[in-house]
Amino acid sequence: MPAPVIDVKEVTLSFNSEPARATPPELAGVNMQIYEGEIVSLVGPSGCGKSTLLRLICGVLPPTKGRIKVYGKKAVPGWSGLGFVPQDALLFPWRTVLANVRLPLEIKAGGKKRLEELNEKAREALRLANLEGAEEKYPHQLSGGMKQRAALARGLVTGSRILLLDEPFAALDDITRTQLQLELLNLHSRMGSTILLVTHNIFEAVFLSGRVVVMGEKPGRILGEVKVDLDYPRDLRIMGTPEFGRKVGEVQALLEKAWGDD
Amino acid sequence: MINMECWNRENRRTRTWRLTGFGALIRENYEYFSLPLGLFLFLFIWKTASGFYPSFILPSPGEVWGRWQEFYRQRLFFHHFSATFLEAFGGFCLAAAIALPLSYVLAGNPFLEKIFTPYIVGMQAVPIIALAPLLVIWFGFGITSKVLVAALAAFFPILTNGVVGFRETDPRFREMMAIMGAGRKTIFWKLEIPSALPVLFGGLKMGMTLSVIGAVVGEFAGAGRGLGYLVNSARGNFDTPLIFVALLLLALLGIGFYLFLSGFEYLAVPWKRRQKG
Repeated sequence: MPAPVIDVKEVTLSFNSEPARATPPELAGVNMQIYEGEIVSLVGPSGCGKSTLLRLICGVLPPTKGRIKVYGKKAVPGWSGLGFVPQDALLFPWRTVLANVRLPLEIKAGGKKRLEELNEKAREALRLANLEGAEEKYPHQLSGGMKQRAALARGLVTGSRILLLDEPFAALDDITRTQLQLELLNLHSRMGSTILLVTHNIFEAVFLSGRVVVMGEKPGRILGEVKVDLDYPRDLRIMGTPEFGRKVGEVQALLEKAWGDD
Repeated sequence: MINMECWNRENRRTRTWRLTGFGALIRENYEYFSLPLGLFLFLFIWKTASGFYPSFILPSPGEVWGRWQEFYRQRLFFHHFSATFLEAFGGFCLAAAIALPLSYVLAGNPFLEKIFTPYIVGMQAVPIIALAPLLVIWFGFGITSKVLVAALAAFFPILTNGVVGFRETDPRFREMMAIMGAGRKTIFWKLEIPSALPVLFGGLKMGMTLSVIGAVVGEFAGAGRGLGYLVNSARGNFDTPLIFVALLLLALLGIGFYLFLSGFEYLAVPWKRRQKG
């Protein structure tokens, strides 16, 4: 067994330090290993700490207990091997698409590199995310799908081998969502990136990932995982197969078990 | 097919003809006509109204124009205009130089804001016109006291807009910057400043207009030159045409300042250009 790319060990996170009037911790005893080239989805009810777990992996939030290693090292914010794609794209409205995608490079270079050099890399990332020709547009001029593509390009621009996606397609209409899901799969097969995806959508989770990790709430914890042995490259036809339906059912069953606990 | 061609050509010709009509010319380009048309109407009403009153109450546009030419020939224009310009602009710059950094500090520090707010509001509650004589006593009849009055007038809107602008930085953007590994300085230049700019410009525009008012108020309280001084001394001589000259120059100064800042805003805030008309 090779070493995991992302290794989350016994991670607990609680926001109040007084144990006397303690609310349940945000996350309790979370263990998760993600291996090179995998697509893994995190599903669970809202407020179960899925997005928080992504922030812990990014390193912007330190765990109360336990440890997180990315490529065997402690997670540090701004590490270029890791790209983050947030919900609602979060593009800066005062920057053009190109300047938005360039931003992580600017931050990394700290003004030492020529802008044209950075622009070239940003354009390359936009090509990967299927968003050529919109470089000089401002975010408010883009459709939801284009915004999300730009956010994806921003996540890829530093040459990240790992992509963390926080409900990236939640705000899109069905058709655009499917399109972007296929583009993500395509990107994965070309680049071999490791992808960790947070989603509410069980179908999306099963369609995209090799493993679906199901989380429960209060405290946020991992209930179990469902392995999806459908071969990559995948296309929309697998959604009609009995295997797909079975996997969706298994994820659903895990989630329902958590409801029963209350 | 041929008929279709003829119909099209005919139709196009009709449209071209319509476009050259005078009514259509105005309808299609009304934005270029609105300004001279408005000016013409204004002058016409003024001219008509002035026929009913003696010159020392309401001089006609022609009289005011004549007074302006005389005023200009006496080489007094630059003497007075430059004083008010410097007072207003200097006061605005002074206010912005203090209010903008202060607003950033207050926006990021609720405790300091609680300490400062009563004094800032109290200062704002004192009418500037009542404060001006005091400043003239303290700083003399020269330009300094007027710069300070103008600065006081401009200070408040710049500060409040600054606090609002800097405080409204989206926390999700902050987190995004942190994830990308940005430090304090980068977050300031690449997130906080651009995110606050549209609101900052709102305050600056208001402050710039108020600084002209402040300069004039300061001159009223005691001065030897400036457009406000000119109004005051012309009043003593019942030289109403000269008052009109001074008022029009003040209006031009205010508009000039406003346009200057709007142009600056156009360059500095390009992403807001085509939003909402």
